[in-house]
Amino acid sequence: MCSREATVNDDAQLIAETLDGKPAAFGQLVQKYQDRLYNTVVHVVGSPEDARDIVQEAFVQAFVKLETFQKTSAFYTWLYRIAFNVAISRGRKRRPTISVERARETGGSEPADLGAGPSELLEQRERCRQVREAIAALPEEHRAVVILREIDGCCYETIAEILDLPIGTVRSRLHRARLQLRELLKDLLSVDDGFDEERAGK
Amino acid sequence: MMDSMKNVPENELFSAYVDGELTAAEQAEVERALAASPEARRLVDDLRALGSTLQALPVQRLDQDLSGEILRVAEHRMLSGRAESQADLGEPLPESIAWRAFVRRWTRPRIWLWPALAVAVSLLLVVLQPEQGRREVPAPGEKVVALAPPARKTSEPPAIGALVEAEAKPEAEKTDQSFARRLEDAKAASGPEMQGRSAPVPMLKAPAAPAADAASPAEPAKALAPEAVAPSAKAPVVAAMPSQPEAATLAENMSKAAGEVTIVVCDVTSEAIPFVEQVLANRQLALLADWDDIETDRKSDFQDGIFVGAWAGAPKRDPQKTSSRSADKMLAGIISGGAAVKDDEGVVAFHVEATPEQLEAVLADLQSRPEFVRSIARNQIAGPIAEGDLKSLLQSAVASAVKPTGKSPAAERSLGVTPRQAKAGGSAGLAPRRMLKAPPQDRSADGQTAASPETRLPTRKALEPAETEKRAPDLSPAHRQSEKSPESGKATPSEQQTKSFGKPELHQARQRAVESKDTPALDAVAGDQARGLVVFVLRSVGNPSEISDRVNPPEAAPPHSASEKKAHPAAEK
Repeated sequence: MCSREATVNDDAQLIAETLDGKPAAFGQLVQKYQDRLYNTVVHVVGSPEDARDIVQEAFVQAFVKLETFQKTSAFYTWLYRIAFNVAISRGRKRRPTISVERARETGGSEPADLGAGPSELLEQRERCRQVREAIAALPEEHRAVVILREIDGCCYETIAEILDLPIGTVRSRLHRARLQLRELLKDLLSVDDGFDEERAGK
Repeated sequence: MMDSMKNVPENELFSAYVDGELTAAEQAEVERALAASPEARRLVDDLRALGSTLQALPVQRLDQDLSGEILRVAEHRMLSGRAESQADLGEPLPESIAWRAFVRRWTRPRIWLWPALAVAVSLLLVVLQPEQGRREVPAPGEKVVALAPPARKTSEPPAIGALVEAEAKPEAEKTDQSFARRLEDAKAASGPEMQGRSAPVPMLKAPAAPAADAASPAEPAKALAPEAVAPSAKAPVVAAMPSQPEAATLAENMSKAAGEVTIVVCDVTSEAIPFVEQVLANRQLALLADWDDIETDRKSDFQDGIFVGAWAGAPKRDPQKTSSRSADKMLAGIISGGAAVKDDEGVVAFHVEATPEQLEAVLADLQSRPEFVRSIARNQIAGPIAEGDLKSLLQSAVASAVKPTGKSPAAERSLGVTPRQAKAGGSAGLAPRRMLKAPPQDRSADGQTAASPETRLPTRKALEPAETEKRAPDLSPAHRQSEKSPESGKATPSEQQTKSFGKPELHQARQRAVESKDTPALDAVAGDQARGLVVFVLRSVGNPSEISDRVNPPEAAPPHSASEKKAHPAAEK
């Protein structure tokens, strides 16, 4: 997976151990990737509860199907692909509902800026809410692409592999998703621009 | 190219430029556009700002380590054979996947497929028209000579031919022709893979004439169809099929011997599999080991057609085979092996040996969870069943339980299928398509498909002369003759049966057991009479969401159970 090739060998070792009858090795894989996968999935599906279930299901399916894992791709990519398939199968039933408050309560890991005052914290939360709502407003196929790129940092090739799409489709969908977000977050971005210009002026 | 760059906002190259995913040529092109167009520069700035904004979103983390739960669920999933979650996702898994995953664990390619098929067809014959072929009550001690051997010496005349030399009465011919037509229909339904192939029939020799209803008990195997006279590769199955009355006699004979076989047909949901397994485990019922996993010295017991007690030990596994199967390894120590027959579309049959108390407890356990086990039908047909017969029985049970081609109330009775099950589309019937699959064996050149001894085909073993003598003092003359003149040129049916048992030492051992204990040979060898054979036929009635449609008409759909609701959390939201 792009910048994470170094982990592939480690993962391969853990996979081999798992297939050799050491499930604890798979436990290490879970511990290694569960938060990262969750962070991606929760932005895709919006619901922390659903995201948790999807992450768990993806790992379970990965374990059950581990024999079929092709070493040609990274485990993480394969795991993502499973997770997205699970998410898609569930997501077709309902639109994502971003619940920032619930995400904070359940996921609970939104880091606070320790140096920020109460008003700044409120402002941060408001910005997060707006961004999440904008993401949730995207069409499903656009949302997945932009999250994989912006939240998870996947390269186009990896996104194409995870979502089983041609790279050209990834590129076009990503651009359209960004244009929509640009429109949805127009105010936010202009504030940022103003903030940046103000800071540059100093 | 510059024309395309004029369309600034929509041009996806700007996103790729921000992401560094452009070729050198594209990069140069975008940079030229940026130099020339303020709008392009503004777009790129916005895209970069957008990226920063999205990446600044707080990272969401799980507040717990899921590894333990994941491994637990995965293990359960593998044991239950489900490829994917149903309850977790609130989405029913396609039934066939779940069942295929389950049966994959319990089944392997088996050498007994074809001989089992042949016996199964004969059993199906009984199932299809029991009224014609079944006698009311078998006379105790009547002659019990069931099936002919699977093997014959090449120097001997074909078994079929030998049988055919017996007189054939017009009535029997008529019956057999009728059956032949049905069988041809069945073959046609089995798909093109069966067409033109010679079918295995070695063990399907006509049994000796039943003592109770045969006009002349001395006539052995009188009712073969005319087609059987001329060896024909086109219709070997037909040729070897016993007439219906004789097939019924076969069933009767099977039920005459020691021990009983209980067939338990359960309509279950796909999710019931782990529950059933747990019930069996709770009652200390281990599945009898898979044929391939049975130690070699044990195989002889099975091959000789006798179950020696309740063999339920841990199966012997080939280390190399196991090591090459990581999935097995991942489940090592959990699965203890099993013997089962499956159908890809939702029926699994397997067997255990259980005491009556164990059986009752298991049935009670099963009945206690109606959300898993929709209905249970139980039927005792009595035994004993040899290894090959057992699997034939399983095949037959599966075939009867799956996708019936026609309703047959009699068949339902035969398998103990309740009317409700029949209503669910589970009425028993001939399902040859499921049974007649890839023949693994070479066929003999003459198309009569006599099995070679090397194939060690487990088959229905007839009672041997000695034990038959013990059980049936009033042996038919034909049978007696076979005992007295074993070296006669043309084998009588019973003689062939004797030869079919394979290892002579085992035959002798059983003879000795009879002589020394003055008890039926089978019992003497089998020993543990407290245990009976129980064949479980699990018939999937689909996932909870499908059950109401399949089991009941829409207007009478039952309320979903609590577990079913749990399986669909999404639907409640």
